[in-house]
Amino acid sequence: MEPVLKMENISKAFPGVRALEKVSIEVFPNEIVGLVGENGAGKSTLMKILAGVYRADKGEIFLRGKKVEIKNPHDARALGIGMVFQEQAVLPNMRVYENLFLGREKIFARRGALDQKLMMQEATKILEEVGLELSPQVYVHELNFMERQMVEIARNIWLARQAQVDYPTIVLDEPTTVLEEEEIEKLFNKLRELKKRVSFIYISHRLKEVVELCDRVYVLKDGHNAGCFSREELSEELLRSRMVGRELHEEYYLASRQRKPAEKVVLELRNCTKKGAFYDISFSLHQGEILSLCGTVGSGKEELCRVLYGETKFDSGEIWIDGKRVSINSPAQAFALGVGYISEDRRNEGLVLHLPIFENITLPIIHRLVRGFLVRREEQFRLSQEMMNKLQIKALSPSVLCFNLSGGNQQKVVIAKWLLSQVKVLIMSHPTRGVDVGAKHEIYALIREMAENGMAMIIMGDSFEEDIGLANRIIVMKDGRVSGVLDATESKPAPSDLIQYVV
Amino acid sequence: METKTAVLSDKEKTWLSRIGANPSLLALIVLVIFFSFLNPRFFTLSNLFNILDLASLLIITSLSLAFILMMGSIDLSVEGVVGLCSVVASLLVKNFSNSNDFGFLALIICGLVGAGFGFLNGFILSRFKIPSFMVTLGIGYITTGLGVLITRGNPVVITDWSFRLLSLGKVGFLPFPFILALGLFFIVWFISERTAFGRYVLALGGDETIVQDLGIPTSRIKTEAFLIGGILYGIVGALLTARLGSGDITAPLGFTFDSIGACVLGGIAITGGVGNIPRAIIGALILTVLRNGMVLMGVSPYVQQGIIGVILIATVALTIDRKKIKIMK
Amino acid sequence: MRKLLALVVILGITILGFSAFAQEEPVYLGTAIRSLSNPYHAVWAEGATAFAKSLGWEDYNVIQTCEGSSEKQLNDIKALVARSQGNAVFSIDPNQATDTQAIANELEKSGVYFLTWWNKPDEVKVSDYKYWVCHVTFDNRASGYNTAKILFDSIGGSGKVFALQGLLGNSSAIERWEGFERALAEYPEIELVGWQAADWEKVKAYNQVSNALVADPDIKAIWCANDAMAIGALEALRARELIGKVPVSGVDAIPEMITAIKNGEAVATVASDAFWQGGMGLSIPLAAKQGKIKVEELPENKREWIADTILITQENIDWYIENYVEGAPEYDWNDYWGKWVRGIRE
Repeated sequence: MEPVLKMENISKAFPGVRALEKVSIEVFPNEIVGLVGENGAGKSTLMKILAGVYRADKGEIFLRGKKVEIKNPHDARALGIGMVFQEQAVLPNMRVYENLFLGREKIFARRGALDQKLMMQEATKILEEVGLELSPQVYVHELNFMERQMVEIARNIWLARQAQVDYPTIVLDEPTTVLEEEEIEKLFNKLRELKKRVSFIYISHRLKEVVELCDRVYVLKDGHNAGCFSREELSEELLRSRMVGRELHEEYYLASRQRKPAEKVVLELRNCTKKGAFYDISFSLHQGEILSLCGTVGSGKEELCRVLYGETKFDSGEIWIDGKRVSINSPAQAFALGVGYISEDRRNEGLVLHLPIFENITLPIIHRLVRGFLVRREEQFRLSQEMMNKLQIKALSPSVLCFNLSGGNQQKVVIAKWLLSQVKVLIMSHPTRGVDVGAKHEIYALIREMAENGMAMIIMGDSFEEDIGLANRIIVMKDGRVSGVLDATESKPAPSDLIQYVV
Repeated sequence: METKTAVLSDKEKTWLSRIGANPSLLALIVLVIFFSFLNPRFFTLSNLFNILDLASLLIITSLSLAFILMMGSIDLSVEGVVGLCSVVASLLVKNFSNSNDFGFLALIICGLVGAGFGFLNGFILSRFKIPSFMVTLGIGYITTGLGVLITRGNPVVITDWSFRLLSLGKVGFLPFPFILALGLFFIVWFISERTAFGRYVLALGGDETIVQDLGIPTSRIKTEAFLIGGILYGIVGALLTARLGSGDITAPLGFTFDSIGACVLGGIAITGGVGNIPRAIIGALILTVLRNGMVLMGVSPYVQQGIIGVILIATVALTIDRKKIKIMK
Repeated sequence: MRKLLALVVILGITILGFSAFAQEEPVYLGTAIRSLSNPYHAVWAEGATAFAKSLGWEDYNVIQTCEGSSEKQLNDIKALVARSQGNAVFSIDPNQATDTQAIANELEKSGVYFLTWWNKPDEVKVSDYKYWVCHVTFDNRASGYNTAKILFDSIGGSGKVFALQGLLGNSSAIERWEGFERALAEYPEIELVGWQAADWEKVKAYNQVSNALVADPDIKAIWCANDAMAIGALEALRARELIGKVPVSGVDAIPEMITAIKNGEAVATVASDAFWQGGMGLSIPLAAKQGKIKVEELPENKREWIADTILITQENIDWYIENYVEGAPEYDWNDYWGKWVRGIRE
């Protein structure tokens, strides 16, 4: 069978970096091809070359056996190559059908005026094709993340068809990052259905999903091909080892460094209720304990954490910190009481991206570094450098802007910030999201170290494995109530033990 | 599988549900009822025509601002361009300063002059990538300066009585400026809703990079939007001359912020991407009715401005897209 | 000690001698006004230019506009002082009353003679300064009072009247309004049915009067605190076919208002004679610089004084047009006190 797409011996160098070195991939009809690799392995450069954003220094691209030149994104689209990125390219302020045809309205114009009826008909047809049951009249801001992705996929299929390409290739970049388990399943079913008329290139950090979904997987490492595996050979361990180039020991979550928490209770919730979110929640958190909160979106776990760090308030119940009853009305108050929060959305919530590392790290404790009216900058630097060394934050100096750091290093800066401010309780939402395998490992080590030093943590992990692997104790929430409490200090429960409480 | 459908298709929507979904229209209706109860003179035909007459110029400038705000830009050149076009109109029709007599052709020439400055606004801001508020502020100063230069600061008194019918004339009972405003409204509305260009304007307000990535010529769209705005300012300039009997560079003082205010009151988000053209007309009517009603009620002039200010802030608080502005500085 | 004193005296005499010698040398004539975009200041600038021409010093005539920025005004003044190396005199219409002191201190420091117009804080005394020759203003209260009286008389002293104030809180607006209220008290038959603020502007006046005519359709006359608003009011009346039936009054004597009075549509306005202000504002400080006026000998009431205005009505409109509109008024720029009425503090 002839491949739909073939990229052969692609090389690309940026000043000072060899991003890609003779990388080749092939995509056949009716298949979902996985593309994995650590951050910086060259995945996104390769895809940007395919999308016409960059041009390869060397190498050739063939579509259906014909050599093609992709000079710009426009060419890529005309050749039936579509991109669906994590930062979605849909306009929430416009309707679904307007989004579908944005930029191609001309064909619906009658003497300059758009024939909305015709647009709607066409839109309904495509939406049906991709199995999205919604009215094209709906505004995109009313759709959830997955539906928006499907709209983008539909647009790419339609655009390809407009370009007389019946069989397009669509690149999906980390499509499941913000999806919940059940939605991921839905998305996968749709993709499996769609591969009858589309080939997908699927990029993800979540190896489990890659293994589950993909027909074939390419691994990239340091800009080189590091293997291509068919469905039969695939396993997470295999991919992981190829990506990092070393066998990951079983101690992925560093369970051996797990300690039994101290007797001292730092945080206690008594019968907390927030109508519409969670009901009658009670638990206590001990010094040095890692507590995982599991549950689907809408189980109330997010809301509960928001209450704990002061972003919203509950309707009834009590919070006790260090044996004293407290009320938390704002994040500032939460911080004053020793509660810190690491958001999953660190770009917007965790970091001031346009400030240097040292400003970010010392932000919560800046009042302690003031002498007279002036902030002691050398002290800011010293503390930041110390944290950077300790956490192995890879940057030239503390004055590098956070904007320029990789996801993993950004996350470390956020953690450093809370470490330095010596909070007693740290709430972490998806601490390893969007972080590559190597950096993940370092973050796990950090979490262990913080626990050893007596910090209590509440974690909402990226996967059940992560939750189980890290936690001393797991609280599962369902429909706003605690549906199960599992101990994970003595022995680790299996994900299957957990899942029964979740759904 | 859970499905999402539009709550009701447009045809199914009852008038009542439409009003309910549009807080600005609701506010306008409430205001009208409120003032009608307080002063019997408010709900009369003569006051209706009075309000339509007073609102007409504001409606036209707000149409332009609606386009530009929806695009996520702002236009601070309204006063300057309107004022200059008012001067240009006065110098083209019969006047005390020269011997021109272009009659109604002056209206069209004003539209062209306005279009020229609108084009300049759009071209400079898209070509040199300067924020619209800086460019339009600059063009505002330049046009005001030109007007002063031409007139030496003196209003140009016109003697062309037929030209003055543009403002003084009536069709039936309806004041002519309102008919013109209504006509322009339908044209602009059509452009916004039913042409690709109109939709791109809204899309640009949503997310410029996405629009650009789809291969849509964003610079051209911005330029065209400002150009349309300029045409509207030119027309308003000519109308203003017809209304006041003189071309006066300082006459449109306050037009810029009134137009922005009207759009905001109508529910067009200053953050861009949200709104439609009818909202501009509703906002302009709210502002005009509010001022008219306060005079009829005998509200002290000392607090009138304050009341409008409070209402404006409240509306912004209700309409602004907070997701777009994480932190206001 | 005595020697030192002698030295100072000799030096002083020498300097005075030099400056006397320099009399024929041209002096920079600085006029600092708000803007040229209104007819009042445009005529002002013409007056200043006419004065400069009368001396043959056109090249030394500098008109500075601050466009509403106090800072720009002060900086422009400083710049001219620096450029002329102090060889300048100034006629200044301060952007804000409160700016006067800063300007005065600056010019006093540089030894530049100057004259200010219109508003200054009461507590600032011209006589505390050596180079601040005069502060001249006009009687806003009288303007408001006189125009109101003529307006009331034009409707036979009885009926409903509507009024437009200027920018609320502005001192000219307040004073003219006080004059209006004084006249109102004298006419018990006149009923003030309402007033609004139109911020000195035409379009706002048009809107306010349009609304007022709905609120009270039998308004008999409209008093306006300035002419721009009066023109707006007249056009609102025209749109409702009431022009000529409802008399209007204003203040400032802008050309449109003169025409309106001539046409019988408006009844009164007041000219402060901007042309005279433009010339005399330079002539007086120049006289001080040239020693024709001895500043330290001027009595208090000639340091801060009120200048005469021209009340224009139906009766004298033809005379006014003949002498001030069609014919340029002839002024004796050396008649420093011709329009002096009284001291401000009298």
